[in-house]
Amino acid sequence: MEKLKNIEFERIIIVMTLIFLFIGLSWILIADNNLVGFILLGLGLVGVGFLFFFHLEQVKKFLKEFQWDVFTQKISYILIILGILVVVNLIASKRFFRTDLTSEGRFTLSDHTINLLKEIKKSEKKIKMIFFRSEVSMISTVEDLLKEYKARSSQIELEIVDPDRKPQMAKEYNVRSIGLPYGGQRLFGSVIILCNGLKEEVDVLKFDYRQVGGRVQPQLLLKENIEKDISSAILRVTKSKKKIYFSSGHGEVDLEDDEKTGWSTTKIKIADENYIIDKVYLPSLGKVPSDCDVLIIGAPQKNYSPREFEILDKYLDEGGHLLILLEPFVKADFNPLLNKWGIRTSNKFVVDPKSSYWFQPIIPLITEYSFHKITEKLKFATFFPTVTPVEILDKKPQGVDIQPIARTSDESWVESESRPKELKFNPGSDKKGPITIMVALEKKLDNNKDIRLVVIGDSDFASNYSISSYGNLDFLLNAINWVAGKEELIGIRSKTPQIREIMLTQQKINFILYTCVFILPALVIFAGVFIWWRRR
Amino acid sequence: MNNILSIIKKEINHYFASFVAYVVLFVFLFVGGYYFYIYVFEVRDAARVMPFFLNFMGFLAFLLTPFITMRLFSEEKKTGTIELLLTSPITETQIILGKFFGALLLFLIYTSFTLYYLIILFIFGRPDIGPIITGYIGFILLESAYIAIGILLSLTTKNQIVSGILTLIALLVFWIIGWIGNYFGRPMQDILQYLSFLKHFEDFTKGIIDSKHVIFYLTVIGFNLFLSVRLLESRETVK
Repeated sequence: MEKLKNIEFERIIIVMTLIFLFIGLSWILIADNNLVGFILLGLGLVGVGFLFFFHLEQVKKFLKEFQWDVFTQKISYILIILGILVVVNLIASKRFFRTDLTSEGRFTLSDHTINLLKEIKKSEKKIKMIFFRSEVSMISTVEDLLKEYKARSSQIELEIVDPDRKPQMAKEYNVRSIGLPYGGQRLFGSVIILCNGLKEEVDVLKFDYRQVGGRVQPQLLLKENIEKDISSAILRVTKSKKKIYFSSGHGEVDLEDDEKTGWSTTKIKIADENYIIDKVYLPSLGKVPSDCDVLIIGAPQKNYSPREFEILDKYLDEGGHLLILLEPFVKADFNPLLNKWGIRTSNKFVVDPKSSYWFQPIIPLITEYSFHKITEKLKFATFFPTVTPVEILDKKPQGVDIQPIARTSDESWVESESRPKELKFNPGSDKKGPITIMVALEKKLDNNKDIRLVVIGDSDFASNYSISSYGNLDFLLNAINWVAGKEELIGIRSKTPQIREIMLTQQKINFILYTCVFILPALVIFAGVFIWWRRR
Repeated sequence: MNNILSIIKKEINHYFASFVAYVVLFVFLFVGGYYFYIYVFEVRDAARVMPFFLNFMGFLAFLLTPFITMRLFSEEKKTGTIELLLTSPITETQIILGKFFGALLLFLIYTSFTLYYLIILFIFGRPDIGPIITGYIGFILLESAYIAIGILLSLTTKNQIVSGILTLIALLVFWIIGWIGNYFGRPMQDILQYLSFLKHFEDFTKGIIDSKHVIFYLTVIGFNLFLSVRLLESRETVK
């Protein structure tokens, strides 16, 4: 009788244990609050332990009967096999073969990205990606994409962080959430990419209006071309630092000068953008250094010699990247170099009474820019203390894309006199605005190189005194970055998964419910009972 | 080969003669069917129902496998028929493979019932066939790994319940080891996550076949079956 009770008791424990384990695990898998799940799981494990204790005699007997000496003899053989298998898995984890069978090729990275990852493999750089994401299924697509990067490259380390759970980490990397207007839902979706102490951030969410059931509502959506953004960011962080040379010897801007007109602060700010800065005196070298990524000519006081112009001309022709900053009133004349490219400069200055810095008409304030890579993300105004016009000639060389970037207002003019008694527009001699004060030129060459040239009619805007005000710093850095050709991977098509909606009616729902949940299992039980009955 | 086939046949006959096979199948279809219904109702995207469902099926199979494997050797040992088997001209490897494929075939029969869900999906929607194929391949590999572990543990005891519980614990460990890994730093984290059955199964359900995952499962299956053969060969340890 007691034994029977024991058996029943044991059965109850087995059933309870299984139920606890099942619900506990399901809870942890499905629900957000894991605590209850872990408690249930714990109870299940207690049940398992209890059953062990219940069968202690059997466990002891098993251990006693088990012949350990024979076992240890065999174990070395087994360990060798295990070792081989571990090695096989280690090799296999470096990947041989991976194929994506989804119809849209959702998990297939573009050839551009795969080539990029191959390049990184050669350079043996370690990349860390941290994905700050909220728990929303829409963002999972990006997580899948990042996992593909990781699967394709052993050098990529991926960490997925829920910023709501680790707010200090989100703060450390300065990750912000994006939210709907009027205090709506806020979500995180940013990929931080780190390599060589460089950091890039790719935001994957955008805010847009969508038509939902006849009404237009604001919604948070995934950006397009996320793969392109991520690959471009990887490209940027993995490239070695670019080198900027400042031409010297003609009274150019002084990179070590701490005074208001010096460039010491500016130099630090440029270096922060991942550049190595050096000076070059062209006549002594006879050429532009071969490791030069950007050559900056910063407001020389004296003119360059024809020999130097030859060097610069050759440099540009072979795919050079040149940034020229000018100043009015000086003798330096760059027309011998620039006319060929359809650009003319002078040493006159621009007066702008309508849009100026603190009502000083000789310091034009630019609030609107033409559409260009340099200015597309510029949010602030920029001011230029004494600026000289940079004119685009009607006759432009072929195959060259030349754009005016910044223009003064329509009430501005080019003052023809260098020391006018009074700042007044003279219709006869002065040229009426808007006046272009900056141009950007680009020409693609056959050998995958490109010529990039930016000419700005001022250098004071980037001096220690002005660089931190308004948008001046961004303006300068954007210009340098564009001239340097900070890479963007283009031609990566975005893949948004299609939704293949199941059109459900109440009838269909009932059909699925009854056939799947009741009829099919019931048939199985009937079959079982039938066979059992027949056997009896 | 004939020996293996005859064991498989014997095993399948034996399974379906007992009521356990039907109860397990009933639970499998009842719980599975309910979750399928929930996924269809909640997700409403024909391309995403099966990945969700196959993931759940992997979980369900881990709870049900011990009920099938626990009796494989424990019962034979208890009733003494193992001696008959071992003294017959059938080799130990054949016995293990026969038992393994017998249990696997049983689960394939179970799984074949889920094709009914596929038919529903194809009638009511336009599912993506790629991830379904890879998902089933992954499920079969996962289930094979469960069975291989179950066979090994069933060999260690003649008490069915102990064998079943041991298998359940072992599978549970392999299932949650990835989460445990999250509490460790690298490289421990990487190792634990590599051992997780769940992590390797995930890609299959999404539509990806990666040699890494296939080799992982084949390793687990192969090693457990190898150990089982060794254990069976050393009869002294298997009284």
